[in-house]
Amino acid sequence: MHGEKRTAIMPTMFTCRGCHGFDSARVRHTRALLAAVFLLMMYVPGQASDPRSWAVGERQAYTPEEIQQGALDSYFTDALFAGDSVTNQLRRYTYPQRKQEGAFLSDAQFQCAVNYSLYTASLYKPQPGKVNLIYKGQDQSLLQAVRRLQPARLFVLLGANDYAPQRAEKALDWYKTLITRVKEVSPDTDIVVQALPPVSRSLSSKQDMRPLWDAFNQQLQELCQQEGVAFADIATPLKDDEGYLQPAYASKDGLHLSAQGLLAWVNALRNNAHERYLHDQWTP
Amino acid sequence: MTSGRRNRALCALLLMLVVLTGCGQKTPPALPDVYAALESAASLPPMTMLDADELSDYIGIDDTLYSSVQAHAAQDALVVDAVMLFTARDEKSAQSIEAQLSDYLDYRKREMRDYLPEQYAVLERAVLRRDGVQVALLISPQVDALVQAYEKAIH
Repeated sequence: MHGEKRTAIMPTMFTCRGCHGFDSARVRHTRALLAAVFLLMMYVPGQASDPRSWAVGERQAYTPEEIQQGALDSYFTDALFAGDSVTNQLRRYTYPQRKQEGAFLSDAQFQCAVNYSLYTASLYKPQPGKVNLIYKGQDQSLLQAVRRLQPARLFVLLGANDYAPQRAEKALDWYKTLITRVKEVSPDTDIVVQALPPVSRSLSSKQDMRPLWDAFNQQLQELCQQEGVAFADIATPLKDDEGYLQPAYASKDGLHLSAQGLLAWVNALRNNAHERYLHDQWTP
Repeated sequence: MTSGRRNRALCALLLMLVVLTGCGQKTPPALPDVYAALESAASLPPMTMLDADELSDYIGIDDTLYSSVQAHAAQDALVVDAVMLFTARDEKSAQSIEAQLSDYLDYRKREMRDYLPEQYAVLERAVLRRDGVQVALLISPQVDALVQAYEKAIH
């Protein structure tokens, strides 16, 4: 990006209108020298054939192919994914990928349960009789898991089982409590809150759920800014032109993700890693 | 050598042969073969094999408790089908494995009870059994076929 801009500036510089009247040999030599110095300044070994371009600050952007092939997957090293059935789908999707490819989402671990709620996750202790997380066959809370694991990064995706978009105020309070408590039990953990994935068209037959979902994600992003934690907009890349979950990304029930949808989600997180890398928020 | 002595020597030889060849002892069935038999008996969904870490961290079954395992669960997290077969190191370990699997089954029921009723119904019919050091958890809409194939494979 910057490289292209700099290249575009060069012709203007070397045909400066002000110099036309003084086109002597000395001026030509000076121009040639300046050009050589400029080119030397631009040259970085190995850069000529590198498909990456210059980006924000001193950091080099990766190509979309490199990102999707996992060039920045160290972002997920020592990470913990916490969530409900959607994250549980990702967990089940990840293990065979790791067996086939050797590495997938680095060594990230998963703490998730079907029907797990944001409210339960915000509590210090597991709730008797409710769906909690399990560790070694025993119920445990997310905060207990975070305290035990001290993950480098925590990816949270919760709220669908609390009907969060329908009762945003409460859900945002629970998110705020969860963030505060994670900071308390594991101060060095980088918290990444993920947007709720978009809804399918089939779930919006009686009522258009898109505005509710979008408004909640917007409020969630604002909360993350206030709380100083990262927000990953995984919703937008999963949407079709009308803002619904892309049909290819939806499972049969319209609420969960297909294998293709899970991969699109992973790639959305990889792109988020890239954005944060370019903005100097982490180093691979 | 008298005929009495000869008979006694023959008996001793026979006894020694029985002891040395382990005749009368039942060798535990090879679990991959058992799993293959179950796979052909019922149509299981695409399954993923659970490794020792997952069995330990998630279900709480430590690898010191068993000598052999075949644990498979549906790749789709919203499908409860699972076949978990263990050859425990001894009877006590078999009891521990059975207890952990029972807790795990209860946990899965809690997850599905108010969420996916048809999956909850499959869990309600799940079979957990212990036959000596063999422990099995069978979860499938075709659990009867699995049980039948399992009995045939382990006996």
